[in-house]
Amino acid sequence: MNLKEVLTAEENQKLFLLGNEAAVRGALEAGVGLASTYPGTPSSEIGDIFSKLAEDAGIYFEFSTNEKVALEVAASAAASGVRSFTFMKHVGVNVASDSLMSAVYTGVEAGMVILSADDPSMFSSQNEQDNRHYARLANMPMVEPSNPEEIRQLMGFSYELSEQFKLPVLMRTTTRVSHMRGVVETGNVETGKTKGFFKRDPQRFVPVPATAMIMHKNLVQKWKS
Amino acid sequence: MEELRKLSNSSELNKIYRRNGKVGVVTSGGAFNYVMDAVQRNDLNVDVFKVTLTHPFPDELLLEFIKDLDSVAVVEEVDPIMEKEVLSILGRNGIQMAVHGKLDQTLPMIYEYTPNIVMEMLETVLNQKIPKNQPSNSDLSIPERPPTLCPGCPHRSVYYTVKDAVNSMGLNDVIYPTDIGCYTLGITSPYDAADYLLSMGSSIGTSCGFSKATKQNVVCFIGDSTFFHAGIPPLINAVHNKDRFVLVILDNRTTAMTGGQPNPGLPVDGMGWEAPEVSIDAIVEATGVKYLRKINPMNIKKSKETFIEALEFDGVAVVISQHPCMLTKGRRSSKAELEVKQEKCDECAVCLEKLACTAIYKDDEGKVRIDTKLCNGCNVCVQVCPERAIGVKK
Amino acid sequence: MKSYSIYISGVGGQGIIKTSTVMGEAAMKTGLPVVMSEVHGMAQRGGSVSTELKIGDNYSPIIELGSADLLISFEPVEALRAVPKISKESYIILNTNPIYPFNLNETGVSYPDMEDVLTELDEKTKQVYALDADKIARESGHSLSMNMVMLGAASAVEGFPIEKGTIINSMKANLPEKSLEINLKAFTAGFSFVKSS
Ligand code: SF4
Ligand code: SF4
Repeated sequence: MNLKEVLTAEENQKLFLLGNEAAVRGALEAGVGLASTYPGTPSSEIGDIFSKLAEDAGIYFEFSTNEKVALEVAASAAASGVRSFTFMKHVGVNVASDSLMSAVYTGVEAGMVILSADDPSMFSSQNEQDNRHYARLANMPMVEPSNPEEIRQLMGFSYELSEQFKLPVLMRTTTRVSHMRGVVETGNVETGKTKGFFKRDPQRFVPVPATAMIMHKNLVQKWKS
Repeated sequence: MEELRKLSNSSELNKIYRRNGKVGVVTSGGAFNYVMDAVQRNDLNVDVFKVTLTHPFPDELLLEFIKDLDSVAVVEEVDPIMEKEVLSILGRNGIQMAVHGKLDQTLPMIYEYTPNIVMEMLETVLNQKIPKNQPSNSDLSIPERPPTLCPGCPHRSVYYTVKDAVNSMGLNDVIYPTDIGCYTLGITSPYDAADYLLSMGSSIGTSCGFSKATKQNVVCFIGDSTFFHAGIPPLINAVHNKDRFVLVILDNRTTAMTGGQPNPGLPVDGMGWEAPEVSIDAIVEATGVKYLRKINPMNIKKSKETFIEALEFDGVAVVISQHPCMLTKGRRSSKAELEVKQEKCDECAVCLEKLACTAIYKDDEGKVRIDTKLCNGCNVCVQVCPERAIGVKK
Repeated sequence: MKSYSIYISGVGGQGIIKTSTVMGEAAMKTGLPVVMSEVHGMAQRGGSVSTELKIGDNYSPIIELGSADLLISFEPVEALRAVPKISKESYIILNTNPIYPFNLNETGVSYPDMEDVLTELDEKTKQVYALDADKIARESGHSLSMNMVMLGAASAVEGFPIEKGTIINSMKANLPEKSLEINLKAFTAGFSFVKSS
């Protein structure tokens, strides 16, 4: 298969995709407008493929200087109404975590998905931390796919969920899922909106003590009856 | 607005597979695959609850799932997160039921699962044998094959030269904090140039600490991409707090370990568009570092002189070692093949044991040879050979 | 159908992932369910690398111990390392060309004799097809086509579930055009080797 097919394949095609390739396809089908990362195994191929396809897809992709910047780029895009996707290896989320906590407080306008590729048994990492803890730490919904086709499908679901609750969504994979290849049935690629408008609202987007008190209360409301 | 917990309880993503079980398994992610394969292939009477929207955890669905079960096992990688959710839901609802998983040591606490780990777990909780194929095992002892620096890798020359400089100055107990990238492979012998590592950028931050808390010499290593990522704040810290160590920035013009992505030091960005190169030298200079040199690591003599100077410098000394990665860029261009001239070689093994390029080996007769298929023609072995025995094949 | 499992082992840089993908995609084109597991990252720097491919109704691509129907090993020692995955019922395609680990001198473990490797593998399995795939590749036009020699050999093994023609089509879709001719030659050479053994 030519990697370009991750973008060009039409609806209802069968492709033999790596989990990381399926993540790109899923994001394109969901109409993502901006993607950002700092490369790290086992998530690296996602960025490699965006780098090859972004221009043809008419969307923006960057290798950010580090994961924190990548998350900030994606968060502000989502706050401006552009669907965004940021992805990194598990320890990369540690780097991004400072802004991640706040991004869940402020919430998003358009959907935002954060993919954390965990590495149980440390094939390429310094630890095997379980990033599902981050979903609990930050109060953020989380999905856990089991194979490439699920990754593709869950991308679409996660953007819907993210917009419904105005929260970023965490997608947690592991090496064996990110580096699993399987048959994926394509959906339709949506051309993503790449330019939005940021409507200023400091009560919502600037967590200083007074506003953060309210933000946390609102966040917990989304979880509890 | 519908709340998240309700959604998780009603979502089709969280799916129950009924198989007439008295035992149920709650599972997610890659672990689900092992469970399903074992259960289906062996036609086990085990109900399976695949949780995909795992946070918020679908509490009501769990209660529905366990209604007619006697016990439940939780199969997840790596920490017992859902297991604790299950225990707390059972507790809150006053339900007495055995919960197997990591906490009761039915499953291992660390590392990824395998099909066999999951099958053994099922045998335990079902108290029944599952037919398994008898694996072969080999009685021959076989050598390990760890990853290593590529032949002609510029990092190898740097490690070789730094070690050579340190030895020639008679320095002992030098600390080598390292960072994350291919160069972390410097942990292996004969380089032994990786003593302390915490995370991206930690080479410089920890050098600050070693500089304050010990009297030892410190030489730390960081790659170009990692320097941009997390190396700049600790360098500013080092200068401002008057630390003393040698920082070697291994600028191989790529993010090699992960497959050769561009970084801000390159004239291209993620879109494949032209982009301004951010200069590492200019950043280092701007921090106020007083000793800054650039070397070509493939020039062994000059590099060694520079490292000696840097080690003598009283302050933060920065050496930028610039050479493109062999794998992504710098494949040999000339066709000239190198060989060891057997008449000159006295088998001192400097090339083999100190430089330890993986293209150099000892043949069955104990002769030192170069594997021309692997050799990238970096010419470093030519320079390190004291007998000048390595040269172009005639 | 009964599930068919292929374990592929070798050393980083030998083209193992490409070979596996060609097979997997061919299985998909045949209409068979297929899953595969790859290793990327650090191990690719000259370390041991393996992929696993399962054709049939499976959720996980990871092969249970003793369950590989076919082991394709690009390197002798890597075949020994894969032994826990195989059984008396397995077939092996073995490239007899050794790659010595760089740290062999320090490990204290010597590289085993090829004779011993072959006897050992012969004992553990149904049949071993041992070939110098590097040599055959060179004869076909380029040493880099070694992986296609191995693929050709695998395609000829009894019970291999994908048609030769489908594999060749998958090669066409996955390999660079300019090296296709050499790769096809290499594939055919590997195929004939097993057929004529
Ligand atoms: S020139 Fe020497 S040091 Fe460089 S890759 Fe070849 S054998 Fe190794
Ligand atoms: S360094 Fe030179 S003399 Fe010494 S073993 Fe190597 S080739 Fe022979």
